[in-house]
Amino acid sequence: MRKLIFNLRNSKRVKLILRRFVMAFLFLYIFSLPAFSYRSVFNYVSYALMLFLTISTLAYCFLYSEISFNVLLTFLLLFCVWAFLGTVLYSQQFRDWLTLILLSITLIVFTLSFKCISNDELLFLFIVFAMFAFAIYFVIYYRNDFLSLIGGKNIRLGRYFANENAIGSFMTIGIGTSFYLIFERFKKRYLFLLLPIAAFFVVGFSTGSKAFLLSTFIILIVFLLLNSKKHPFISISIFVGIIIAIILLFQLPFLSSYKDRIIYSISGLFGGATDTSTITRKTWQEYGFCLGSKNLVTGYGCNGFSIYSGVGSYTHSNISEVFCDFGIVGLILFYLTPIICTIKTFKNKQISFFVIGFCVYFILTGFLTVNYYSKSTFLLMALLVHLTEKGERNGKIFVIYRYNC
Amino acid sequence: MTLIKKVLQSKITSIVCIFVALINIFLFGSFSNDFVLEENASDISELVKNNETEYATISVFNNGNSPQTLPVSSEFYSMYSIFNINENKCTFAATGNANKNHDIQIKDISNSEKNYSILYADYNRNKEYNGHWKHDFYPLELMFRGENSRSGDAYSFCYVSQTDANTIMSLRGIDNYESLIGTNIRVVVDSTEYLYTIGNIYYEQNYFYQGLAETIGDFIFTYTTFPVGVKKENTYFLNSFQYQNKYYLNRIISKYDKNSFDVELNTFNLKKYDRDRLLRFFYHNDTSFNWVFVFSIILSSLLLFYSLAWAWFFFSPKNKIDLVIIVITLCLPYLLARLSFEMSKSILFFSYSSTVVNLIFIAVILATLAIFAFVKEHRKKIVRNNSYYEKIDI
Repeated sequence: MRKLIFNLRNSKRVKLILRRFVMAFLFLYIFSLPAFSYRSVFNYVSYALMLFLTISTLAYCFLYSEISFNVLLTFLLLFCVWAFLGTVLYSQQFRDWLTLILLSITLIVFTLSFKCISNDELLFLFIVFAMFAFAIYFVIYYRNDFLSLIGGKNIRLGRYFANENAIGSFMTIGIGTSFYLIFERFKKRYLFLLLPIAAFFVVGFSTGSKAFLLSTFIILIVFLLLNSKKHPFISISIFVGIIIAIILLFQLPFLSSYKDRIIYSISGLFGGATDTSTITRKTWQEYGFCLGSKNLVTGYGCNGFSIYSGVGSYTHSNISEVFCDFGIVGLILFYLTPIICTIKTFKNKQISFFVIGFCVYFILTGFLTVNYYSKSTFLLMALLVHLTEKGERNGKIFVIYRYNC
Repeated sequence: MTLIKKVLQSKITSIVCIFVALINIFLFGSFSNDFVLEENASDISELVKNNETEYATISVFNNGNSPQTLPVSSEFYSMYSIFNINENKCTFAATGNANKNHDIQIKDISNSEKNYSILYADYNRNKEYNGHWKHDFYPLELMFRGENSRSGDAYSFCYVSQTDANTIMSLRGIDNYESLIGTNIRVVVDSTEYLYTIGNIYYEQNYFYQGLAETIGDFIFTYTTFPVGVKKENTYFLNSFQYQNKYYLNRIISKYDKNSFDVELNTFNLKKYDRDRLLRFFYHNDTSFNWVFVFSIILSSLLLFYSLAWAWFFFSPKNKIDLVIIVITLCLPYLLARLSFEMSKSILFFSYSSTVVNLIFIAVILATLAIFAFVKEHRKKIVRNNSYYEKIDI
């Protein structure tokens, strides 16, 4: 056995093949997240890819590197452990809690596999192209409905794959990652990413998700603001271009109801006329805070709001939902990771762009959608932690195993 | 004087002041207007549980001082979208005679002792549903698309239940429901007879019908034309969830002016109730009540200001005992309030508004202490650097 391990460690070919397996499974797994993981039966494909990714990553780390995780991940892991308390005492939704545990394992596997790849540009390109592949799949599946959309029919697409807001969040990650590559690396060769960006916008708009439009807008504003010193003229031009594009798009008949919903939502926030969707979300958010205040320490456990409110649904606000389900301790543990990542990377010009942008997106979308148990959230967290770890010199890392050659 | 000064400037006094400031909010939280609503909502939740029923209904009606009309379909849609997303509970219905204050009978059904209430709507474009029909917005399942018109010199049209339709058919010797549509029945309201045309027949099934049957008993469905003397009501279905009840009560007091409208607790399905206590939310005078709560917040703020000012001298983030004491002091008021709620089941010392104010104070305390720690640490660095450079000079 020792001889075998020795031979494997000394084989550059095996190292290369294993690394390529990690890259391939990572790409496929990220693709499978919006494509398969929310669909019955197909979700087993996603599980299988996760298993292969885990095996190949652990094998690579064991043979050629180390199995370790950054201390920043402990907050999210503690969050998953803390969630057990409220779940046991109140909601008893252990299946949902198990989902959290599996997601936390996914988080660790993601960060390990990012280290295996060890090339950030390649990593970001994987994410962009995995999302692009999904966007193409989405358009092919809904090709007839796209024609109806263009014809003026008012429909929302995406239910076959997942909740529309979930698809929107994956598209936002694709857009943000593409813009990061274009802006931060600013090499002309990345301008071809404008094609995937267009695809992400098309898919995002077709879902009719208000959260998608608002969160993409937020992340673009943050990116532009952070980049305005370096490329002021280009930043302003892009900002103006986006506003004009949105105004023009909203004149199209198939986006008119989308436009109305956005206008009503914004109007409702300032006390003006609004639609029932906005009133419902506002009421449920307050309900979540009110219910959570009665059980401040442990919360009501996974899915607690749905059970103890009598509403039978989630609050539509992650901050309110986490506060209600896991108490103030759970809320702090969940949001500590992106906040600390932002503080640590603030002065690192190369990565602060991405980290700050997505941290702001993450906190602000906490008011628009529930994402504490969504796969896109844990993918994003893994990226933030990975970048932060690379950016700091003396970061704390827990090493479980290290190969000393 | 020296002793007093020593006591006032001690660490213990500072900690005690923080504790008193926080607990003070819980003690006086019951003096806020929000507490009245919250307590009233809690009472209604208990009422529903004690009466082993699903709903307790409150009706709002115009008291005659103003010609204001009641919104029906828009109000239904609002309540439906907020609390009935799974389509399994009643939230709102526009009614008449919900509390059976009038005597409404269908004369065509002889020997019937049923006192009918009225369910009405301002829009009646019935829709196809699962092989039969459903009302425009109420989840009331119907046999036919329906004729929403009067026949002859009828006063208005109505929809009757399938049971009543069966009785009328057997009395008239009719063997199919369709023949009943367009015929008239005599509805007696407090000894005054009205002619109503049967426009449709509703099925006695689904959650909406069951909710109405439980809370207002037998009913006929009709249009906005009401018998003289019978008031139109907007009826809200409260339940065992406190926050939902609070929302309903808040909606009633914000939407319906006290000078033009009155409220009534419908007692058809209630055996044990205290009407005055359960309706006090509507008649409560909210102008002067808040001042006690405001005063307690001001007092707590002053105590906090005083204690934080001295905390600058005593607090050190590296002293772990200090940190533990601070955390316990901050958590203790909430825990005590929670304990009082668990023991007494009363929200007197555990209201939502007092919890919110408490959390804000805790956030301010933690932020202030964090700033103190940061500034002290920064100052030490400067002093260390200065003394290092002085050594080099030497």
